[in-house]
Amino acid sequence: MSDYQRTSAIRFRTKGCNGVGNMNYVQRGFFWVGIYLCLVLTPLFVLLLAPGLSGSGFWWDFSIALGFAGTSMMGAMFVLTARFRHAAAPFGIDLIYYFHRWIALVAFIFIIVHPAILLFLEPVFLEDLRISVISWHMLAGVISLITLTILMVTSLWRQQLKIHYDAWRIWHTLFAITALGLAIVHIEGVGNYVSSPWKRILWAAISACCLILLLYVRLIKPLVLLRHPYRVEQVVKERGDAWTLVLRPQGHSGFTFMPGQFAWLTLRNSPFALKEHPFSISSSAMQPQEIQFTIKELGDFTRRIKDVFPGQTAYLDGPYGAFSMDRHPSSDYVFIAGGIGIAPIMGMLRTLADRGDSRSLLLIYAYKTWEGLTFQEELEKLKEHLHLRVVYVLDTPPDNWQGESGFITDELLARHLPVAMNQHEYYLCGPVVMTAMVEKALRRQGVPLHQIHSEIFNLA
Amino acid sequence: MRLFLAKILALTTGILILLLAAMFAFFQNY
Repeated sequence: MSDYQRTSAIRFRTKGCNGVGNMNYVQRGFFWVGIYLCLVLTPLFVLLLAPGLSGSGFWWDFSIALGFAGTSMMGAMFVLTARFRHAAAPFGIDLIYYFHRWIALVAFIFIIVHPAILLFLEPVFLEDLRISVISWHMLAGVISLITLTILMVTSLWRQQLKIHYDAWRIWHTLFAITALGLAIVHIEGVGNYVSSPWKRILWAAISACCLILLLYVRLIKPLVLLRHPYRVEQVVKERGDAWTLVLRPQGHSGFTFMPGQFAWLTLRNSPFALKEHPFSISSSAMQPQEIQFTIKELGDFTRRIKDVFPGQTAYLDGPYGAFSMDRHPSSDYVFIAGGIGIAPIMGMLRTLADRGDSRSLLLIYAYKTWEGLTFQEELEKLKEHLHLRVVYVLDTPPDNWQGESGFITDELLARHLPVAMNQHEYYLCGPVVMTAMVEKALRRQGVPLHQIHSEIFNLA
Repeated sequence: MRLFLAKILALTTGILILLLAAMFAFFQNY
């Protein structure tokens, strides 16, 4: 029995990864979208069903409604980023984080428009905002707005402002709590639309929910992680400035995962330190007792991966992600990787090899140079165990290179994709620009959109 | 596609909320 087939006897446990599972994911997706909309829209419905004061003009009340909506959307951000595995499963957590970015921008616009309309209608209100006369609840509103503005600027332009990711995460959380807390103080203080006791209860409940979520994410979850440590077994140098960390659970059974999923990794810190980073699992899902991450030296954190030494303690929060062939059963698969985007695809290939899979597989793997091609030797070895064809696409090929070079173009895809391309599932992982370009090229080749799966691993 | 989907979902939610806010303002002054 080969190395890859050795572990195929291990029972593989994942939920919803058969044909019926696909349907379940769609239903579950709609269910969680419904829950999110209820959370965000409830305060507006309450306003609609039980209006408070008599009308003060359309634009006045419109601006008040936007203020309420923006605040409830801010509250819902805590739910979005709490990483509830069941809620994230139908979408993939990368999509939820991108949704968080965009919906935060929408909420910010609503909240900015709220005082803008009021000041436009009643410029005299500016007088009430002078520091000598400002009321405490108005001050809370102003500080909330300033905090929120800082939050948005530092999030949208973090890299341009050269803010370290770890520091940004801590300040992002603190600013978010401050902005929401002060917005609720502002609403309660103004009191016009929350006069009845049950409306006050509603806002108190929203505040309590946010507080509970905060306790769960920042206290309970890290405590659980602390009790489930991992040990770094090996740090292996790979081609292309990449390193593979081999981790084993210590005193617990670890977790099972679908091939292609990822986890948040904490190194050199306690889980309370908020210094965790998402990485794809590059090892086989059939060997959950030995989890591997292959990490390329790209940023502040990843450049220090080589300094990790065997015996160090690590913590893993996972598995997450919807990028897995187990979610979309097919007769054959096509994988397209760019750079270190090979990591989750390697996890899938290793899993398929461990399962003794005989389906037809095509890997198109784009990289800068032949020498730097991560997993070069192992891919050649995998060909002996799988019905796998590998097409390397090099940016800077060596002089005697006979293979493909340049970008993954329509012509290149036409040369290598199987004839019955509609019968395959396509998995793309790489830089955002490459993924978008290849996705469009696949569409032009006639691949249905629902058969193209991608993951954006630039969550930071 | 995933980036686009995230944008569309956020935009749709935003428009829905905007409509509800307008409805509230309308009925408050009806």
